[in-house]
Amino acid sequence: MRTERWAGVALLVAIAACGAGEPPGRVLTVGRNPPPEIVDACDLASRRCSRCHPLERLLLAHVSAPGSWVMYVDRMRHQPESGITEPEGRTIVRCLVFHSFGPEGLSSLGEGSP
Amino acid sequence: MKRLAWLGAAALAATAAAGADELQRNFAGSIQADYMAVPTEDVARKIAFDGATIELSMKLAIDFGPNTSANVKVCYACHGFEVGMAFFDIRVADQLNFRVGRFSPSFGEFPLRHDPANHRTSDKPLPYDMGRMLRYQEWNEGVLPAPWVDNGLEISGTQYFRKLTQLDYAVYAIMGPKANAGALDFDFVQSHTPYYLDNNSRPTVGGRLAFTLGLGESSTASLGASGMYGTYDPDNKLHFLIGGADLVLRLETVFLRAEYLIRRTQFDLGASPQTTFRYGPGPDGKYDDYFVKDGFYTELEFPAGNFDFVARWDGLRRKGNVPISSPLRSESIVLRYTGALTYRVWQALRIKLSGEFYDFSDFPDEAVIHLGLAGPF
Repeated sequence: MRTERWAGVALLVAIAACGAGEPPGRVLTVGRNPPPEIVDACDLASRRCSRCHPLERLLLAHVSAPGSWVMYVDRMRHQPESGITEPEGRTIVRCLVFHSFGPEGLSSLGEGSP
Repeated sequence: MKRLAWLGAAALAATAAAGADELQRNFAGSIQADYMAVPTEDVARKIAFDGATIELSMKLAIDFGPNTSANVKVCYACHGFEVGMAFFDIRVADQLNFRVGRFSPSFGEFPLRHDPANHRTSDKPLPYDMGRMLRYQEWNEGVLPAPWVDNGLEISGTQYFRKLTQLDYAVYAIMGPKANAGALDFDFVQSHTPYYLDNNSRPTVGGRLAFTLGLGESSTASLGASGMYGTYDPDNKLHFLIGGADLVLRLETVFLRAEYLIRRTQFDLGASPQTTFRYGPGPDGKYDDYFVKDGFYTELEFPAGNFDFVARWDGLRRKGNVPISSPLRSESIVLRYTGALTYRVWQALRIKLSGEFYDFSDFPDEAVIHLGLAGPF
């Protein structure tokens, strides 16, 4: 019985190991060749947003303009216990704008904006 | 209170000044199609809503500007179409947010991720069960079915400290649960069906306080406490009090969650309790006019590639007198053991598979298998 229990634990560890090593924010940048700043921003987005919902929900958001992400993230930031501070919200916006609109989207946000 | 009203008015004025060109509309939704089999029963419909169920939600979020938004959400599930959200959010600061309309008041941790596309098991933990547990009629569902949707006002906010450490609060006044005069427990059907009106002219009040401690870059430990108090009958004679405590430990992508809910519900003894209730009076010759229902769940959730695994242990207990017709006793318990996995088929579309074992104190033990498909759009 004890052997079976340890075998179960070993199986779970092995399965977990199969999923290790992939940067958590990669789902938001795949195929985009992001600069290091955006990689970090998307890692932050993956850590914060996945508290309440799967990260992939971000891929399905219907956002028509880079500036829309600002209000979108701000609304999410104010959900109860979101854990997203205002500076972090600005960083997450940069990840999502890059994901949706590429480098051109980021430049359209302008200097000093999120 | 006047100052709060002025702050809210100022935020609205600022939003109006932002101009109509900032209006943004976002549509989102989710679907879960689930099949629940009870291999230990020939005809499980007698004790459960088994078979296929669909849970659909469609939400429209409108950002009027940086400080104000509206959310409207329509849900379709076992009850048919219902309005799950219809509220305005007015954000004055991180520490002060007003939510007015129809919403789920802040209570506990699970309701934050009650959407089937946001949690990994097919069903909800027993304290939050809304009719998918076995023997839901005998138990009258969980302690506080989720999502609890109600009309009212909530004031909430967050104070951030150093990285990832924060204190969240929420206080609210809502219509509250309902039942007829002379009730013995909440009537959950009446509580979510028309008329969407307060049945007793008294608000139910509640609140929540949660502290999150940052542990490194992406690990946190959160401790929360919630409470709700009011009357639920039309005559304001029957009081209830619900308390809750929750602990969430997040280590990178691994979650360990534990919650405990307890509800003390007063009931109407009527003119002749000896003909209504199974058990007689206590040593003092008096009948208790309340029962206590509590429940817990603890679960471990961890991802592995396209898989997510969940191990959950949850339970319910009811202590107190019961109607003569009830199969429950003065103290009844159900414990449930769940093993679940999800597989991400595409983006956030997931296959959900889980097995559950029910250990009842008053009924034969049962097994359940869930197979479902869930995802947002």
